[in-house]
Amino acid sequence: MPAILGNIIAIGILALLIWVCGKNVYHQLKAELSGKGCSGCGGSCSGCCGGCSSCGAARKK
Amino acid sequence: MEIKIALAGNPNSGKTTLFNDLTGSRQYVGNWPGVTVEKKEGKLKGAEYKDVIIQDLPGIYSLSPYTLEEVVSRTYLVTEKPDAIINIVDGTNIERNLYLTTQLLELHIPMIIALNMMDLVRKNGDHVDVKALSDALGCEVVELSALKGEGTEGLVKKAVAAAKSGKSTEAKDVLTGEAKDAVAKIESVLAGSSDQRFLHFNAIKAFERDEKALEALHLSADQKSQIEAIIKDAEKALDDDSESIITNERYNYITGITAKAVKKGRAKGELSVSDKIDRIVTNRILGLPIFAVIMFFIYAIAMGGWSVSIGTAATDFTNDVIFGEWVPGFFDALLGLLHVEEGTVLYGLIQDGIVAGVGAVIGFVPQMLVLFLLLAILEDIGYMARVAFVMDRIFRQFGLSGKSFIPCLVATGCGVPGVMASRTIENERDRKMTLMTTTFMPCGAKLPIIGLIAGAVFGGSPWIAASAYFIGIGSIVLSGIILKKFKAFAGIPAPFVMELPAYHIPSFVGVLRATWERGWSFIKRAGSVIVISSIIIWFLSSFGSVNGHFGLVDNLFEDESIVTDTYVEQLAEKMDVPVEDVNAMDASLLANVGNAVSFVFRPLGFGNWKPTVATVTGLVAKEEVVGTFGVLYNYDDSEEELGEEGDQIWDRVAADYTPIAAFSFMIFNLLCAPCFAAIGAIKREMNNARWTWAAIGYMTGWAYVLALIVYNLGGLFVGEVSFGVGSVAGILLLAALLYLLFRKGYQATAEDVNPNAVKANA
Repeated sequence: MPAILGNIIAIGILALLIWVCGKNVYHQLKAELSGKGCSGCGGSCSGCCGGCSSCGAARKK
Repeated sequence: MEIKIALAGNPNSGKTTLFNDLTGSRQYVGNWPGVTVEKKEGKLKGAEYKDVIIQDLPGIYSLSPYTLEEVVSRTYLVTEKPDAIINIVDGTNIERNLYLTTQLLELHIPMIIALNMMDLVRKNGDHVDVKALSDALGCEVVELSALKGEGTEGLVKKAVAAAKSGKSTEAKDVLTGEAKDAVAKIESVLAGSSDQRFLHFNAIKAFERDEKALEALHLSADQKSQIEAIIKDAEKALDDDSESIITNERYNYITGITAKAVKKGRAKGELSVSDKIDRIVTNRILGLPIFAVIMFFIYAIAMGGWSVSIGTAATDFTNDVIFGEWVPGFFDALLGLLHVEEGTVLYGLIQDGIVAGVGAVIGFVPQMLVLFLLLAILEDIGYMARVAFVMDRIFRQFGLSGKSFIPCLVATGCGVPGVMASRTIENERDRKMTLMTTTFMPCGAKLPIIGLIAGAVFGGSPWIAASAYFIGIGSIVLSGIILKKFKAFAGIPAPFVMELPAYHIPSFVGVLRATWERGWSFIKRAGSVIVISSIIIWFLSSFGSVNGHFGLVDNLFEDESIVTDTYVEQLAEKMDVPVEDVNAMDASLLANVGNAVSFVFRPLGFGNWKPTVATVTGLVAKEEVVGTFGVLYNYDDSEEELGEEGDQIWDRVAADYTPIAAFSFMIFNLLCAPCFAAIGAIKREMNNARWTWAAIGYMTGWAYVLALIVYNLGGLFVGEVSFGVGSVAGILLLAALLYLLFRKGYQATAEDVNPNAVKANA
């Protein structure tokens, strides 16, 4: 594989990772600081951004 | 057509277990409008029940107006008028649970009583005559064991049938004599002002002088004075206040029912196995030492350096082998395949940034899992409930309540639910004080910091790991004592009544699930926040200006024409390091920014740009402190190949700090302002920007003062720090702390005591 192609693939994967993680972090921080995120969930929140891990409830938007 | 069934019962009666069983994952969590009380509803499982909604009401002991939960439940039942109620009654505590039942029956809403924990009832040798109970209450009773899923199907069928029939329950006469006559008279006064269905219920509430119920009825002055006269006559005749009259009548009624329908296996006064254990565990003298020993061993097994410290052994393997060799080796091979050369920006970003940063944090997951497992076992067997009881005895000596300790217990997992658990505290002053101190407890995210300091600097000493827990508790107690002496927090501690569940063998599946959930959420968080933070830290620590030239500091430092001796001396002076220790990272953007602020932490013993940056990144997520160290100390050494020995990172960390400075660093990061998620939770619970900032300011100030005292006076004591300005500051601050602890302070008057903090417009 040519070096440039390999680098492009690596950069592409990295960019995707940064995009996915960055979006998650942005929404999480925005929600947390405005009091709507984890702190808006009424259950036993483990702090993850996917919803309440202990009661399994989806977080209301 | 949609059917709504409300689930009502005492706390710890098994409502949540039943609710989860009835609805599965088809549930939604939010808040009741206008109040900070959780609202849970879900759709009943089963294709034939697709239109049935289960509304989980907050756990309550009665329908009085003293707590938000009670007001919310009552308002829902009276205004929403659900089609049926499932009243969960704890079969092992029938007398107490039936108090709420008698009130629910007065609402004349179709109701089924779910007599839960029947497996425990049978195990205790008790017998409940369900038919006799049903006849006595005038309502169908179904046996249930929600935990084992027994009886749920029958309960659902009967509840849905009751809802569809619309046939209201005919409550039996609870009241007798004068009380019964008085309520009947009030009913005639209320006729026309109250919904006929709730007439009897409202009449009893009016007799109890329930202000919220009376407000909702919009009575005229004449009606109010008639009611008051009726109440006064009854109080005079029965020589008791109206609320107590009704309470006595209810309990007399309940005693009559249970005498016929309940037969206890144990003789009165005979102690159960749980009672016998509690005699030791909650003993006035032994309770606290037993708790201290248990927590010490838990932290020692999870994070200590003993042969039984399985957490540390697993973490060492993760750090040294998995993230020391395998993962960097894998990425090395992968990047080689993609022709990404070592020494390039891309290679550095991936290996030195992401892999190092994330690996540093994930490396501590085994210790966390072991700690969570042990805490989950303690919780499941029922011991943690006793801890709140034991702490209440001590807290009360200082004007605090054990109720304020429950959020602290919850916060050992995560500070956010710990902060939210403060909602159960009715006293607004105590609640504010609890919000300001709950996050002193070391949460899951702080465990890597403890693991790092205890492991890297103190050779895995279990005392250091356990001390983090006790420093948290100590800070809460001392803060409580100090704050209680200010007018804003002064007051009599609220009474503390608590359910102590029976001890039982921990559920293997339950414990593993609780452990896994906490661990997995930590890993998921590391996968997003830590990745981004590591990338940002890597960039800022890799690029900078070297003698007027901007670029990759590593490359610039190799150019001798740029890195002159004069420049190196200037850089050494600026960074306050010996000339021979100057390296490329000291010229980075991050080093410059960190160095500008690091003077703040000089009195605490870690006035260096790296710990400064790590502390600031801890605001995003506490585990990021370790992630930042992973990037900064991994990148430090360019001579050895990355990935040969993962523990080089921690050796470098240990070399940069004296033991007392490292301990001071740990204390500051454990006690200072929590992460953004917890700050958001505090902001929401305080509902006041001034108080939120006060809470953050207090926690950070407390952490700073304590770390300063520990470093300067502790360092003086062990010979690591010489006497100087810091020592004087330490002595003065210690004196100030002692003064605040022992002064008389503001004495609360009757006007300051505000036990009822129900602000909901119900």
